Amino acid sequence: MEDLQIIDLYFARDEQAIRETDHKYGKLCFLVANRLLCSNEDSKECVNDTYLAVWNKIPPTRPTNFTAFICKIARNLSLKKLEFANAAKRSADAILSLSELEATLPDNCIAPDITDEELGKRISTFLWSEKELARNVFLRKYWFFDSVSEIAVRYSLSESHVKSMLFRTRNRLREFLKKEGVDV
Amino acid sequence: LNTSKIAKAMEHIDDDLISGAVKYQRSKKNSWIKWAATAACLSLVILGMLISPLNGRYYYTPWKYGIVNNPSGNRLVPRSFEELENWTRYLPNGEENPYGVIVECTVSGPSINRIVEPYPGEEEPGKLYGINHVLTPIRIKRILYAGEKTGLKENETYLLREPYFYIVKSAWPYYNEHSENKIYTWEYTPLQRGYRYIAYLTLSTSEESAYEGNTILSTNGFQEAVYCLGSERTAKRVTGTLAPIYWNYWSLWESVMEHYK
Repeated sequence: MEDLQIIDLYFARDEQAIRETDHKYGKLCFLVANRLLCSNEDSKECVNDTYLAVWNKIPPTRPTNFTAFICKIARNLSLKKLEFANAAKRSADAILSLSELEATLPDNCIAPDITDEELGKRISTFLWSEKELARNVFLRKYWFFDSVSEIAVRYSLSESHVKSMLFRTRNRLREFLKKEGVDV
Repeated sequence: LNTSKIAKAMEHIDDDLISGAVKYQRSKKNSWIKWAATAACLSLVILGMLISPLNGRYYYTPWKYGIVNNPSGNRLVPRSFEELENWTRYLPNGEENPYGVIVECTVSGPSINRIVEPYPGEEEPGKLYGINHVLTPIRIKRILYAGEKTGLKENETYLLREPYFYIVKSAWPYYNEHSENKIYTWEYTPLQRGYRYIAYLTLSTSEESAYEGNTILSTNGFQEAVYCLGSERTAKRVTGTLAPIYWNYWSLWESVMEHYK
């Protein structure tokens, strides 16, 4: 079923909407959650919470990009669940990914008056200027928290190629943010 | 979760970028094009080597030196130190590297495992997080190329900060269920005692720099720049099969586990 049809079902308050969402996006949401939570039970719970959140948000929200909409909800709920469950259950991949990014641009280098949202927009601008493969490798690593080996398999690359691609993209991101006046 | 500003900012990136990453599939080129290009390149290389003299000690052939730790087997091999230098000109922190040094060295002793304690609040029984830095003593026999201010001397022993592991320890049922989460590795180089290597090294800028007052060298991020000398009997063993690599890997893993018992 097309995304627009699923959204229409939500607007009609038809519970079939959740079944269709599960059919189309259940696996993706589970992967997003499981990458962070590393627990099948917690991830399943998080997926169900995601459906509930989508049910509550639509209507009135009418997302233009349903894939990103549902992924963002699943990711945010997973991050919240991690905070709740304390740091002891953090996913190793997520820690590694975040610390790599933080090493590239630590907090004390970022202009204090810039908001997270504004910084997110600048990063988006940078990513749009990158080649498609480098952009998606970066997103798979730092947004979806895929491991290097998973990215290598997904895109038929060697692990060392993925690592060096990430290393160079991080450096270009830092240079870009420096030019934009974000890195002080 | 103690997330930094940049990590939080990642939550606000464009929707289209995210859905693009979900849907993106790398287009597969026709394999015959790849093979034809490879054959053409190979012919050119062979032709070039036949008609041009080998100029000096800074030129060597790729098959004389095997790459260590390259299970995928598809990394291009630089054919000169200049090329090697061009490919590896950044420090791990991204700065341009004026300190690089290319040395011929041997592994002169067993690796020193260092277990970094888990983060505060992560001492839950059966679950443990930490990073194992392994420092390997290497003796520099010859300095083949030196950038500025290296301060390294021939016939001296230094510690090489490779490999290091990221470790997640959990209860055994958890292992059984998620076997892939047993151990995470980064930049693992199975340098072996008594073997001779040519390595591109940098001075380490990490916290191990102060380890017992030793100078710590690093190949961090530059695994392609470690070569085992092909003239050694053991070179074939290192490059030709994966078994010794994985044997070392698991052997080291076992010793790490011993530490935690």
